[in-house]
Amino acid sequence: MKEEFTRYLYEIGIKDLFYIEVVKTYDRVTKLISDEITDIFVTDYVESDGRRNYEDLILFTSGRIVEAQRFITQGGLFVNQISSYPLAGMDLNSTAYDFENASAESRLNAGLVFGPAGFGGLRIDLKASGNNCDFLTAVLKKYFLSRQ
Amino acid sequence: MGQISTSDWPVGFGEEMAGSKPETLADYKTWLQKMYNVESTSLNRTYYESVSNKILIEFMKSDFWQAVPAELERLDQKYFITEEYHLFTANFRPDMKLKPFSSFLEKTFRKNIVENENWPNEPKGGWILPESWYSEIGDIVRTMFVVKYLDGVSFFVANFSDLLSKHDMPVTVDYEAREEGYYAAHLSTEYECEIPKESWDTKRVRVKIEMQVTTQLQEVIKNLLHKYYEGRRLTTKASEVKWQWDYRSEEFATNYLGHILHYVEGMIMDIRQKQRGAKQ
Repeated sequence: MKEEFTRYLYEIGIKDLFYIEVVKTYDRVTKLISDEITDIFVTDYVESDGRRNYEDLILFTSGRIVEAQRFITQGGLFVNQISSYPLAGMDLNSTAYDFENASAESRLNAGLVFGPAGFGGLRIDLKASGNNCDFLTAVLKKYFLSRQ
Repeated sequence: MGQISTSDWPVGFGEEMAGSKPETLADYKTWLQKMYNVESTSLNRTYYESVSNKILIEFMKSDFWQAVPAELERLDQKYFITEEYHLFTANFRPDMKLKPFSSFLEKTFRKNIVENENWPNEPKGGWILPESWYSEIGDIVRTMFVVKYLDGVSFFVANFSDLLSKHDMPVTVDYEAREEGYYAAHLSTEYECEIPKESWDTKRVRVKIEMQVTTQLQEVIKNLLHKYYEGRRLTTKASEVKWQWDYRSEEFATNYLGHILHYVEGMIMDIRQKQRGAKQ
């Protein structure tokens, strides 16, 4: 796994056994897909008691988005062939966030719709909390917003 | 002041020597001084607090205790990976607690007198006197780990015992299930530390540290029970009516609540396992 990915995981608080689960999932995906993984993103949310929960591991390649949903406890993988579908739209919902400087209270949810909406397109939901909002903004800009 | 064994005393001699059975803590203090020349310093709250604080501080500085926060996070993750639930509540950190002097002295009173079936002879295991009582009383320093679910207790005990072993610390485990509705696992370890002597010199003693493991629901009921039993345990007279039949007593309500909650927690586990089975 690339050093920058490890650094990202560390920055959003993924360590110890959860880090091992990321590595295991990452290794499984690289056995399946030969494309270079250019970015990773972990969706997370904060519970009412303040606990940060990590949910899905998203791996980006130039033409695919691989979703490892609930990667810590489950083993399913969704391989989305995004190069075949243009981005049709994006819902963005944010709290305490200006798309630049995330604070602990920041929240960002992005709903990405690919292909003709309502006609068999696909939807990917990405959510982030705290400093992960800046990482989500970065991947949205890199893969979707700068291209359109 | 040496350890005196009463086991070789002729029949009836012990009663004569021991005098009347102490009924109160004040009587007990006098009895200790009269029978075993216990120095007044040993029965002094300030001295006790200096000793217990020293034990607490040394234990908290130990490599083992320093490793605990990271271990709790690791265990929470380990449990989450297999169970899809968290082991602890958010930001859980165990508090270390010191047994207050009054409770400490009461405990020696209970063991030496109230619960001593061999009175006026020494209780099983011998008299608990100042030269050994910091090693004998197991919960002068104690802590509690509160897990969210019933299966978290045995999960925690197994994994935490490994941590103790890694630090070459002995561990004994007792899964308590009392008639009074108290359910918890008690992990006990030993730790050698330096404490002040009565003469304000120092000595090294091996003390026991108690680590209770319970669930959130049981912690609530435990706090209720604790207040009730603190007063009750000191009485030497048995109640005429069993609490199970005295539905108007506080014991009836709190004790059965403890049992009911334990049952409910078992049902929660059953539902969780059924849900998991349905998912798979």
